[in-house]
Amino acid sequence: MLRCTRLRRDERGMILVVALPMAVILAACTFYLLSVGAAVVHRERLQDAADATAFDSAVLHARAMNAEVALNLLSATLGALPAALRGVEGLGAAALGGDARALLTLARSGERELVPRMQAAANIVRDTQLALRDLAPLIANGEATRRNTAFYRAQAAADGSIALSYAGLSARDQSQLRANPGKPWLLAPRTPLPAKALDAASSSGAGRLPLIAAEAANLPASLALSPDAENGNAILQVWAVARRERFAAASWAERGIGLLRPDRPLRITAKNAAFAQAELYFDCADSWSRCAANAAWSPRWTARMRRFERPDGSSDPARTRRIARAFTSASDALDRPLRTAGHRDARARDYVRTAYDSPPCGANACLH
Amino acid sequence: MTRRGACAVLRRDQRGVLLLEAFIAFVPVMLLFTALCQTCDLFAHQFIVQRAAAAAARAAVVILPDDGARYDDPAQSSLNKLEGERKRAVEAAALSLLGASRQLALDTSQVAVRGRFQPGTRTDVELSVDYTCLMRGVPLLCGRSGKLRLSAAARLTYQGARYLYPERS
Repeated sequence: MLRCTRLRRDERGMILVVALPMAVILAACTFYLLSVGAAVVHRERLQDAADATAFDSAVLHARAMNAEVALNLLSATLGALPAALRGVEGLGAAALGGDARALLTLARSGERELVPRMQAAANIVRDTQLALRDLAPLIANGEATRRNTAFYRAQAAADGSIALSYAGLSARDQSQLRANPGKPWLLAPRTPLPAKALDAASSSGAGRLPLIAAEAANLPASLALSPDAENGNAILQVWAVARRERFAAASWAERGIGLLRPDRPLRITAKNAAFAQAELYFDCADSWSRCAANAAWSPRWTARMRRFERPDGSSDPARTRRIARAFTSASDALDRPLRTAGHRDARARDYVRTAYDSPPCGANACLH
Repeated sequence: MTRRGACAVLRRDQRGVLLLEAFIAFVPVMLLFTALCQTCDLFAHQFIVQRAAAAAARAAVVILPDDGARYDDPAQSSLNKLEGERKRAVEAAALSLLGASRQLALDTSQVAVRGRFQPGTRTDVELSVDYTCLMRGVPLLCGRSGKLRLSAAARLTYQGARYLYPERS
């Protein structure tokens, strides 16, 4: 009795009754803000990783194409020099008449020494071109992957970020990579995508820049652009996937997001994969039929980002289907959380479906 | 006890003072607290709108210059224009983030794109959407309607190329 009376009169702790729920709700508000921020930032950083990887790889591919153009020009110059020398000799002989005999003898001996050296140099240029053609996609994809995986892993944004260009990797390079796991450009070994993508790239018969021997095209240089390649088509595309095995903050972020409004949860799902696409193209303000002739002779190859389209469907299905299948199976496994996120808006659902679920181009539309 | 005596006792009596003080302080404290919660919610939604604008800009710089064949426009007549399927695709990119919250009225969202649409130039995207306040009954920050128009802008480099896409019949 006495105890109850004392409790009624006791005013200590009164503020606590009001302040405690307020403090709890304020803490929940802070948690909610942090959660929304963490989920959105995670999603954005993952997309950044994919964008950077695709663009890096496309830029490196474009630089390799420009290097090939420069070597083509050098090769053509070396091929033309002996003819030019002979022309100068002829002109000199005609101008000087009989007095030119001594000069001609001197010029011919010089030519005899010079021409084999030029041919040797032309052979070196051609070997360099072929090596560059075969290795450039490997280096471009590998370097873009290595660079961005290291950066975004350090930023705790992605486990890996993988570039895959149509040019892809040759079987020889692939086995070389697997035999040398310490190589810096080795793709993240514990991710499921690279092995499948590499298999697909090598078995598709790709693995080199879209350049062919110029003899076939009747040109006086080493390499010409493949007739399959065309601005905007699948052969000049680069795709990238950035992934995160486990978004460390996912559980608490999503719990926090649903904390304030359990009846109306925010649906920012911390998806664990992002996709991007870039392309290398020959910068020419005209239709391809007019641009193609200069593509192997002018160093105007450059790169740009494109909307992600799964590499399905092309007029060259035998070559692209294998890559598409590998890419699809890998991406399906990766983007399941996104597709099951349950966007409430039909247009947003369509967007996700367009980007990830349906073949993006009909027959021949991707390879125009 | 006389009436004067009773008043004197009441004046001297300090019991219940804290309760009275707490009641007086409760209203402003609650207002402050509500405002804090509302501000918190507003910031979260402004953040979502800002990121949605970035997503729309990311979509716009690649979709507007993209091949019209992918947007029901084989004649390329809507190239670099925010209309038709291209508009739908850019809006959908924004909606994929805006759809995260039910307090954002998606049907009121508007996307505007400005730029010169030349390689190397910048493309500006502005996004606005109606936001329904968390504390609708309390006219703090949001006014009596309980709604605010949230807007955000983003700018990215245009990703178009100069080459021509082939026209398809």
